[in-house]
Amino acid sequence: MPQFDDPTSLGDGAFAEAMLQSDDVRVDASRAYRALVTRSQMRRQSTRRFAFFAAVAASLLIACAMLPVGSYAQQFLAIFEPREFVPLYISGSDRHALAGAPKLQDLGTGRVLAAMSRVRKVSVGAIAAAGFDPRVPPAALTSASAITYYFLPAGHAEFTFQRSRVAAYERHSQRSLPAMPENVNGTLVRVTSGPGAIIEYKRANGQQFSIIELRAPSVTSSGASMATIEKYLTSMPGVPLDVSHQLSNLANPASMLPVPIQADKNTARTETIGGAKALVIGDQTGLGSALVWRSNDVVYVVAGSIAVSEAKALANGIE
Amino acid sequence: MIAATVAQTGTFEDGFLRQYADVVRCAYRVLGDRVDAEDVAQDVFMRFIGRRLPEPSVMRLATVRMALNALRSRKRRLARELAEYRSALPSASDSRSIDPFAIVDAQSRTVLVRAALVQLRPRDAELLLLRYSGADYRDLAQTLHIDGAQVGMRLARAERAFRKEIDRAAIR
Repeated sequence: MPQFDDPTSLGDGAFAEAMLQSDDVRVDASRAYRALVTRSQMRRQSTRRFAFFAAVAASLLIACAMLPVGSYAQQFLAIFEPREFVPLYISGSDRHALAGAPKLQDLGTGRVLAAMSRVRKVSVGAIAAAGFDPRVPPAALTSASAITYYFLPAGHAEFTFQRSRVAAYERHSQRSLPAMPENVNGTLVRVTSGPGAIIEYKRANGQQFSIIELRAPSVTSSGASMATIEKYLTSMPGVPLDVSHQLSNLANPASMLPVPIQADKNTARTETIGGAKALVIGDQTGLGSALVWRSNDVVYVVAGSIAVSEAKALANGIE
Repeated sequence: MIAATVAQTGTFEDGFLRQYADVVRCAYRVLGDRVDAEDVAQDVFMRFIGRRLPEPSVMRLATVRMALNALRSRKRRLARELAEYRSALPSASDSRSIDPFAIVDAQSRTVLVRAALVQLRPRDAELLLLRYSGADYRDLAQTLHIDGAQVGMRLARAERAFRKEIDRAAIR
């Protein structure tokens, strides 16, 4: 190894090379491959388990594509009417903390009246026959070798906040939760979403992306306002302070849908697509991206293994 | 576009077995920890599972970006490690420029490199890491979409900035 009496005599390139030299790392690629396959299978099973949630989130969309954690925050966030999408940054420690928060079913009773998870593969004609007319970008932009259409039926779900459920949770978990406000107890919240269509494009080079179009979800409440419900939910143990602050700082919580962004894995910014504000989500590798925006009463998503610039071109092609 | 440069032959498994060690090494250069490096490598390959893998240069770029991002999310841990490194410095060397060949402790070098990498502009960090993972100027121009004539200048600027950050991290 060369020796230098005066380190300042070393050129910047040689200096960087010396500092960035890497030890030889021995790996067992076969074992790593088996681990990857196992992880992939577990993820698929997990995805199936949360099929309903994923379908609802298809209306609220990016959350299920980019943050596959069945977190309390996602359940909470789904009960807003989205007119504008804003990022909600969630760090690794936030995700860990949220996993320990009580689940929505610990605070009341919910039921699904019509599940959006009954997604079915159909012909383009069948989508039109179901009364949905998806807009698609020009073929020159998609350059697809295969296109598959899926129909997302409308979904309806309702949830009633109940103090008795909270009491049962407190007994069972031996944890104490904040008192449920009087006007929240008994409040029935109804969520309606869809119908919609998913158009999946595959290219010969292995790239894959989807365009989702969905009638915007609407939410009704029989009692408490969204602001009251939000305040109650974010006061739960396990909801990190920074997440709570981000939510309480929203300019218009009734119409701004915070989309969870994994702070360590994804990036987010706002762009304009056809006059509407779109949330642009990229992954740190530059290999994947997603755009979500609302135009009239339809929520659009373009997402897949494509660069942000291309996702934008496709989005503008739709508009 | 990065994702368009996909290798047209071989299965995912073939590609995985061929590229795994390279991807782990690339992540290790950033993170300095084999377990963390393998975690990042798994995340990188997970994105392509069931599909054909991109070329090695694209895989390296994806790895570098993910590893840098993992590093940035651990700023608190980095600050603690740096404080421990500084507290162990002999006072006589406090204000001297760092000599990479005099650092016999690999852990110390790792601490300084990580502290410097998180401070660099992402583009500079990527350029340096790809260069010292073996990419030549042509590879760098293609992978990072840089004008070939500007690679040398940008690299020199990144190397200068890197050295400055190393010195800043090393001086108590």
